[in-house]
Amino acid sequence: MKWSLGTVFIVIMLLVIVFTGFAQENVTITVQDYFDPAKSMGKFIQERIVEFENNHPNVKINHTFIPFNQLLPTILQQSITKTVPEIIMVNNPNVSQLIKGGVLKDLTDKVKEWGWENWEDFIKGYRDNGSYDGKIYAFQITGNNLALFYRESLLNKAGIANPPETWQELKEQCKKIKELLDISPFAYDAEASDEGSFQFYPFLWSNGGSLLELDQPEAIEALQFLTDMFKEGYIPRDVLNITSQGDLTPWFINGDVAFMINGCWEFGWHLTEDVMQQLGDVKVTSIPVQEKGIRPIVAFGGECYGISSNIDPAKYDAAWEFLEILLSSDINLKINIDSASLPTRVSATEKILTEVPILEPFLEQSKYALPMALMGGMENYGEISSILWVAIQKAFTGVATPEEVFKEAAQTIKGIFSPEDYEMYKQVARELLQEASKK
Amino acid sequence: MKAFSYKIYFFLIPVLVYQLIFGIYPLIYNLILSFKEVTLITYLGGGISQWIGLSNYLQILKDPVFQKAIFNTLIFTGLSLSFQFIIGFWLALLFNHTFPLKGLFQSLIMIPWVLPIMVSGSFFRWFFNDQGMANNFLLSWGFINKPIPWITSKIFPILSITAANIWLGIPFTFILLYTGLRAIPLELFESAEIDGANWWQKILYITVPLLKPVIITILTLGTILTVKAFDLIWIMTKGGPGDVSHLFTTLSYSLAFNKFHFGKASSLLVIMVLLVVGLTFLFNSTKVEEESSIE
Amino acid sequence: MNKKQRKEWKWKWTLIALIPTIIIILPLYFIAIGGFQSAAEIFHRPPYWFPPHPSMEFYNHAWVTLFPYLKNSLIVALGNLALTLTVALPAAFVLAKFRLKLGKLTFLILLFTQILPAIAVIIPLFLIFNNFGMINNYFSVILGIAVFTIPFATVILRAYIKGIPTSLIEAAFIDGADLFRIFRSIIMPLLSPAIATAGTLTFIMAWGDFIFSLSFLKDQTMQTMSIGIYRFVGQYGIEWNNLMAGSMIFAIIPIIVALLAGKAIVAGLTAGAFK
Repeated sequence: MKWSLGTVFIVIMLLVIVFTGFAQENVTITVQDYFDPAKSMGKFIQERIVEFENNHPNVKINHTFIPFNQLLPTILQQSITKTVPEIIMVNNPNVSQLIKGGVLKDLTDKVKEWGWENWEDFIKGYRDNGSYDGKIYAFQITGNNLALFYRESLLNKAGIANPPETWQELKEQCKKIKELLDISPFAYDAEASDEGSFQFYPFLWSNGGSLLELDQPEAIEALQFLTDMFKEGYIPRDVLNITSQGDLTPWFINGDVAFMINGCWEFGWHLTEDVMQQLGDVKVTSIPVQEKGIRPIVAFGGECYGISSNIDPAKYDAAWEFLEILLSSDINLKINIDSASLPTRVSATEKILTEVPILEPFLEQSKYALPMALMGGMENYGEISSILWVAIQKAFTGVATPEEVFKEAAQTIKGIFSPEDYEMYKQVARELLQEASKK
Repeated sequence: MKAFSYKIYFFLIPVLVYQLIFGIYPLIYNLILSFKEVTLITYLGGGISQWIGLSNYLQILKDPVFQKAIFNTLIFTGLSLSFQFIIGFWLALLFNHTFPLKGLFQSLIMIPWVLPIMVSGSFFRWFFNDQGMANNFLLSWGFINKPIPWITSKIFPILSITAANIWLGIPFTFILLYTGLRAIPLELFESAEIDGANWWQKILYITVPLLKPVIITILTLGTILTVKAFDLIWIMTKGGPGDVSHLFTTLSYSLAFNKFHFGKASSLLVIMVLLVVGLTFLFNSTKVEEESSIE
Repeated sequence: MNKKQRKEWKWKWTLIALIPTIIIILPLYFIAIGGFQSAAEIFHRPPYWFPPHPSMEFYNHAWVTLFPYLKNSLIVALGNLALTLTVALPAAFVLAKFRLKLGKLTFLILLFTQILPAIAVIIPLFLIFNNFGMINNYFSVILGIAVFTIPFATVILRAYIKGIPTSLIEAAFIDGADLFRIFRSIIMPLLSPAIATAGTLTFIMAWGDFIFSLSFLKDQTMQTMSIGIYRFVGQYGIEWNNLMAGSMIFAIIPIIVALLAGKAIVAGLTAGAFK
């Protein structure tokens, strides 16, 4: 009796062991980003996850939300404690830092398998940002940039027929509007964060200036122009303390400003169809430049996806498969339509213009848009950006003149690099700028 | 009382051990970090941080922003504590009577501590905007004819932030003083009245002495909480415009997460800890601490 | 004075207390009505004192978004409260009434370990907790927050215990009571106002904790409301109306706690020590 029970028990154990040995290993992958699960981006990713899980029954994907302003600190924490999730989303200015810090995995081999033409279909600026030393680390799937929004009716009231194309025209139009309507008409974000720097780049780069050479006249002129605008009262003083560029739009909607420098995402956010209809006079044009004929050169924003360098090798293939889906041209188009962002693949870009025609100035600018990090010393970009925004604020509040603050800033920036590195990054920035400005 | 001695330690050990492990270790961690040159790359493990001794400290001490930060921290802390205390004390005296709706009002006074600081901080930023409520009032009542740059100038920002922080800290001083006040037996006040004391004398000779432990605690904890304050300043000005309104905490954060100078950020925190340690020693060395203890 | 006159007399205090109360909660008013407006309306100049086209849409959205987090916040905050008071009360008693060398040292450690901001503490703590496999559960968050709430509550309770006449305790010694008995029968009953006070402040701190919950909880279903609120702070900016509506919802529980604690403070004191 006892013996038979024992045999039965052993047999059952053996069967269990055999079956679990043959059973598919369940792979769990985590995708981490800052997309609110209740909004279009978050929902979109979630739908892709469900689709993928259905097609791959042994893979489970968790979708983790981290608040936007905590994403980089969280990734840093995770990196130190070796708990970086398999697939992570990174805001594009931080990609260089994470590449250099060894947080992102080299995906070049997978890209070769996938098909090099897919990689080349991504717009050049995004490719430059996501790769280093010939290796590919991250893909940008959403894009955006800045343009000049204006309220046509307010311009007409002041007798202005066409939006400004040059700095001088902008200044004169602001003067007229201020005299007539007693408002500070030009909303420009000068906050103490990377968004403040982001707003400065169109003025800096269109004028031929460089982040790494702020003591040159091109850079100083750009700052001088904006500082004068601020001092004359054409820019509302409160721009120094807003939380983000999005805070400019309520002023714009209320008619408290006539112009704003803002991004295409606003059409997916404050400037909904209802609001556009209600206002009836919201127009967009490219950012004014120093002289007629110069091409406006802006920075691009947007989100990138990559794979953790510490990923468990058993999970790598599944993670890449999921990532591949997010990178396809159709997805590229769809994911950007809802949030009024710009697709990052050329093939998708061509299609979006018919769906969302108001994006035209943004799409045009995106062809020549430059990656901030590469223009600003790669992994040192964060520090350089912070030096820039402090300088801008100092000039605006009159602590020192634009020339003084930029000369000081340029000194500090130079000191961050070794002399060879400085020359190298300076050259990289110059070349990128030259290429973008070529007609 | 020898019979008690070992049992007393049972009461004390859990807290001591807990804080030693989870409280002291982070202090040591930051201390070690402060002696190294930590860049983003080395922080992430892509290299070894170099040991550079006191170099971070020397660099910080020479930085003009650091000097601003000391000045700002002292003003911020001094003014905040003073006004929070006075207002909290006045409110505690006021609420020491029974009246209808008192419970409701009392819990409403806790609001500044309860609201997420993201929101209340943003409110104050909006309030102090050049085109915000404060200026609206002053302009429409004719006190000024141009908006005052409460948070967009070189000198006002730290004062505006301090005003917001005073609001923020009132629940803390209020509730502590209130509970302490209510524990004072009414008979003491009544007999003082019979002796002819007026309200001022009652406060000075009865209330304050009996509240000494609570008052010192408020000053000590209040100092710690105030010097530690980060979110409010960050939300209102991020230490700006320029770098005029940096305190130790915001400067440290900025060094760590904007410039990725983690070593320097830690050294600044160590300096801050030493400063607060010094201040708390000051508050807690008074003779009052010695009374009524058991050997 | 007859009863009616006494009642009127008391309403005078209500009116006087109304003034500072209104001033203090004025920001709350604007935040509350902000939840009924669009972003453009919130930032209208001059600011609206009444929403021009009030809409329940944002409060609804905020409620739907935040409600799932309610349970987690309660678990963390109440768990932390229980742990904190359990550990802090005995320690506060000893620190207040006994002169021990270890006591002095402990007190100093309690102060020093509160000074560092949470963000400086999170990585070393994460390393410790991760080593013991304790990440990703409520307990780790409770313990993390306790690093700050335990010393905080201990120092506060100590101050109130100092106010209890030592003669009471010494009398009990002479009567032959042991330490636990003294603690339970003499100290605790007198402390309900102090416990209510320390408890309220502790609860509010734990309820508002953000960084420990964010760093120690990987599972989305376990995150607390303080993180939920940050869903309204996105990459394109802040959804002010949702955030303001959400803050009001966030504030409900702590305010209820403060209300209950207020009653406890009054009730406990009428019991009195001097009977």
